[in-house]
Amino acid sequence: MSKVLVNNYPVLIIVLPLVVAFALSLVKWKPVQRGMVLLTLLFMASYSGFLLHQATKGVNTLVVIAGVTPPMGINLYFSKMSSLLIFLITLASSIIYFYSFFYKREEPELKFNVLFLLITLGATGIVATGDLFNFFVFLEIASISGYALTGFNKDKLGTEASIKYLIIGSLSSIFVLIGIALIYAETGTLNMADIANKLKTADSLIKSMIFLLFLTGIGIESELFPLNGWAPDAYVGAPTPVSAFFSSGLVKAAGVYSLGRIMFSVLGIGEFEKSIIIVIAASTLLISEGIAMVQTNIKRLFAYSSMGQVALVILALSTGDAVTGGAGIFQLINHALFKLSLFLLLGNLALKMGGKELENLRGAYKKSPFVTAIFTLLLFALVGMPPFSGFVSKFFIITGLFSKNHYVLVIIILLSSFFEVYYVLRIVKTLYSPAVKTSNAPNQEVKMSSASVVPIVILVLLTIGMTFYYRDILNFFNTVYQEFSNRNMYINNILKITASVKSTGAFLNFL
Amino acid sequence: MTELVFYGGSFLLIFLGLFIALMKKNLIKIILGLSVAETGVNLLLISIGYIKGKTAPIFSVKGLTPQSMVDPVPQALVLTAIVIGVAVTALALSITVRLYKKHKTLDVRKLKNLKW
Repeated sequence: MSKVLVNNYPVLIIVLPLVVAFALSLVKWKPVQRGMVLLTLLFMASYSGFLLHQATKGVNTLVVIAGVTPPMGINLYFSKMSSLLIFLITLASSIIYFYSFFYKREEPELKFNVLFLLITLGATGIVATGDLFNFFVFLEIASISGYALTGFNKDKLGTEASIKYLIIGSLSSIFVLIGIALIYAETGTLNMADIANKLKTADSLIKSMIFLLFLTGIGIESELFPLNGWAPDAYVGAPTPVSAFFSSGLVKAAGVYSLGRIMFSVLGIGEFEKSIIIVIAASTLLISEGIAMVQTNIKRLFAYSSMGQVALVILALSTGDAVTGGAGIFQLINHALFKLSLFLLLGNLALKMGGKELENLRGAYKKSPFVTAIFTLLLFALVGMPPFSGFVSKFFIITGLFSKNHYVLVIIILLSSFFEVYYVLRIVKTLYSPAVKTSNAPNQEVKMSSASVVPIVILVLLTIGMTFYYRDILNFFNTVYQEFSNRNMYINNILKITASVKSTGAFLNFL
Repeated sequence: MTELVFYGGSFLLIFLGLFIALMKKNLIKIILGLSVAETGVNLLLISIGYIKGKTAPIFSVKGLTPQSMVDPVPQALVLTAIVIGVAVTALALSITVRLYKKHKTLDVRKLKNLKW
């Protein structure tokens, strides 16, 4: 049985980035700005790693804001799943930010730093919150920073991508807000655990309407079919660090978490609605991987690939089985790390070869053999080849589905893996084919040293190491998933702490 | 009975706003449609908190008790939602200005640089 600790210090994970983001405009020196952002992101990552360690030992952390206890007040809830996802989001974000130093400087840099910090904060807040209106506010913070970051290159592609993302993202916020209005009309409260308690005895017609509204709203954010038309355009038009941020699935991971939390814990949907989510996720997977086969722009190809992989994760999380769910969470982490590394190496290669189309990368093995080799290894890891950890997660998703007799889903996943292998091999063939003598001179003034690849090599070795401990890792993720899908434990953990907070006094906890 | 007017009106506004956002081809009209839809949602949120015969939740006159006020929680929600709507509309219009400078058109049918 897990305990709940009421501790107010984790609110710094939300407050510190906000304070730093607005204090950045007071600092004039660029290295100090960059250092502040990097230190804030590393602080968030390490603190959430510490909370994850505590949650693994059975102590979940609940932050009670201003001493007003849960049914009435605002609270943040750091369980195993949420602290794991916050750790992933902030760690990946700090790696991307560190690597963005090596690229062309985004002008104006102050605004890029502020927006990058705010989008990380938004994604973190979506995962950490226990209150429905805070969820909406953090969703909007992440979305608005996303709109601005997508249009950061002031060229034709960037502005077009940004306005497309903005219009469709506004639709998502409208649907989520109508859903919140209906929930408030039905239950009279905005605290997620309290809503979960009160919706147990609610009318099923209202629950279906709320389910549809939230599915549309959060589905636009998590890029489910047919709500993902904006996503490939947004990834192509954005500058490379921002594309890496979107494509490794950090805001999408927050979307997956909120989908799981609102659908399973708060609404408590039944088998029929879960099967709707499974159908949508399976069709996203198949269609995205299929479209990725015909792409010639590598950024767009990776965009479609990311959409498909996160749909696979949603598929695995919705089946309700502990083995499949745990493997799905592992797949989310693997995919985020591999996609991140692929994008950063793609930036490296594109600088040397002069462009991001597939044709530009022809013959890259001659110009930078080491980077091309690591790139190829990461592509194989993404598909799920052993000995990388992608193999473990995909294998256990497929066997978990097979043992529950979901044969159609197994066929869909295998078919989409077949598509993945096709486009991965196409990229590898282009990389290793003889170079064509073109007058397309690479960008000579910006050079990325091969030494920047070293952290990625360490990451690759780490994933190989993770494959050897796969049983322990999968058992851990099984427990994470079981805690995530346990509705009554969520309600009890948050609502029953009232007595202990009143007796010790929440103000004393903060001191 | 008057609550039906509020609910019906807000859903009508949302429907109209979505209709405008889907059917119009001029980018500024699309953004206006989104703004109308957000206004409809805010109206829906406030009318959920309305109790007949009660007054605004501000302690303006001495002796006003919380029992004679409408629900203040949706009003806090709507304040936040209005601010967010204003920010998104401002961002949308500034991107539209830059888009007009680059593409020389506001017709969404002509934004075809990113295909497939």
